Amino acid sequence: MKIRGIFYSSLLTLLLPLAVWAQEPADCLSCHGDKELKKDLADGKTQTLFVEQKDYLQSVHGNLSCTSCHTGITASHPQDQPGKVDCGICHAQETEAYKKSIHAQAFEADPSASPDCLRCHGTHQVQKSGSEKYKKTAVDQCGECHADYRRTYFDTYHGKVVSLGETKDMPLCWDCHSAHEILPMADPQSNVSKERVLATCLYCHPDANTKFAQYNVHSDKYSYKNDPISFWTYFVMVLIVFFAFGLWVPHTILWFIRDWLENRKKKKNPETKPPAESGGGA
Amino acid sequence: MSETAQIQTQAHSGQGEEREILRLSGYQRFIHLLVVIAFFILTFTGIPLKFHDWAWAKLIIQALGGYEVARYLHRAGAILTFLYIFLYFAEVAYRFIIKREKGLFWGPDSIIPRVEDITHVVQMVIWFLIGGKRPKIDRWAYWEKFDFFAEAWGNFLLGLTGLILWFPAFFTRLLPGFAIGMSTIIHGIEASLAVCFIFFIHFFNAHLRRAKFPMDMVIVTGRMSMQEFEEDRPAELERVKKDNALFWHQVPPASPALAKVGKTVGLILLALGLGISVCITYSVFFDWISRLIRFIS
Repeated sequence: MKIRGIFYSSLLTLLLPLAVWAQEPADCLSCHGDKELKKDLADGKTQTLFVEQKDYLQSVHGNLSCTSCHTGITASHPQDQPGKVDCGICHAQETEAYKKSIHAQAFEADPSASPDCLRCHGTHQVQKSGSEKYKKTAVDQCGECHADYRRTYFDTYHGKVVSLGETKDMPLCWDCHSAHEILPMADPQSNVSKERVLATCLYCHPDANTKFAQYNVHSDKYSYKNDPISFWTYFVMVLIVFFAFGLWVPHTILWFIRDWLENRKKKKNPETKPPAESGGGA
Repeated sequence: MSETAQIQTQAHSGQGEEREILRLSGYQRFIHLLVVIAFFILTFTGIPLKFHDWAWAKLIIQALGGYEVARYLHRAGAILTFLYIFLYFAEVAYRFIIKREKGLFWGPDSIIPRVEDITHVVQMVIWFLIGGKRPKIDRWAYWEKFDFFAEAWGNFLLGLTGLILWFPAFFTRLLPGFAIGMSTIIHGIEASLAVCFIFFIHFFNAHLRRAKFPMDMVIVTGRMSMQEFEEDRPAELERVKKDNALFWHQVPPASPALAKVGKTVGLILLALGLGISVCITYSVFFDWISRLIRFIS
């Protein structure tokens, strides 16, 4: 009994500083839950320090403490300088893969021109990457920078089905391009390079062949220069539409007007032959 | 006359009743029914895919029970289409080879266009513009012939591109990879054209014009009243009378129950078809105008 009492009290004593260190989100939110909380940046702009509690609790990180990511927060906060969030603490594999990507190279050159982890995954509202919620926003996410590729993706069967809300069997951007280790097409190591694109198609289409993989998934029917085949196909089809309706819309309108005129004439002179009681007109 | 025996028995059994003209055989009406069923399935499962970013398209897919249902229904519609194409050509072959029917591919009873059709178009346009006499139309009017060949062309193009999109891996063994992209473009535009053409132009020509409004029952009953026959197909009536063959075309009226069911179903489909065509037209115009505005600014 006595021994057990000592054990519990010492355990409690040991855990006490830990509890202070690993602050509960509620403690941080007592200040960061304020929408007005801002920080003046060096370049004269202000940055909001507000955290939406609901977003955070519903995120995949909702059960972590703030300090799991925001390391280096000391007792003197907010006077201290907390370090940059390092996703690699937990997600080492993804971070390493990202570092090889074209995104990482471009980010080093100009952080505003290329995404880091946060740009794609968001901050406090980060979702599980396989979740429906994340999938639904994924294409728009990439489309923020790659607008033309987003548009042409939705020209394909893959994109149309996703747009109708069915993401189960349909590939999103990262299913072909990979998520973290994105490389340019010209790089033979890329998932969509000439050398490896067939293997990428085969992942879902087990009967795919070389010519199947040569199909340009992002073919652009509006681009006369880059994609003459799609452009001319589209052009000819639009001509056929104009031809068909150019002939028949005037025909239909003229017929409607003539019917109306004839009917008015018949109403004026009822002595002439009565109109045919046809078609069971209601 | 393919229907001679049938007409003869019908004609004899219905002595004394008011006679109507049999214009479409039971087989022809059955094929048209298959066309209608397949066309509606394909339209309502396929068109939402092309107009995927519009709320009405998402609504249709939800109403059908999700995309999974729509994709299998679309393929069922495709199989039905191939079935009616086969049944159509089987009948043509039967009438040509076994019954040795004359005038199947030429002459006034054939669906193949003739020189007279051009004359009719000109006469019709003159009638539209200044009135007077309507062209004397024979068995098939030029607008019906156009409908027929538009449907045939659409079936060929949509069937071929549809098969490529259904079995892309198989077809790219024979065709280059860009055939998939081409098929996507062709299938979507041709389908939208076909749907709008059927529901705006064909529906007006066949059902919605004043003489037939709101629905021409000939497609359900196969029959036309004598008066309507005289007004609508004067050249055929003249020809039939000259051959002393009017009796062989006359049948007793169809059962009122059939007409009632046909009219109810027909009018529901008419409303559905016009509805989706209005959605398509609105979406296409909205897209083009917004693109034009973006282009100018």
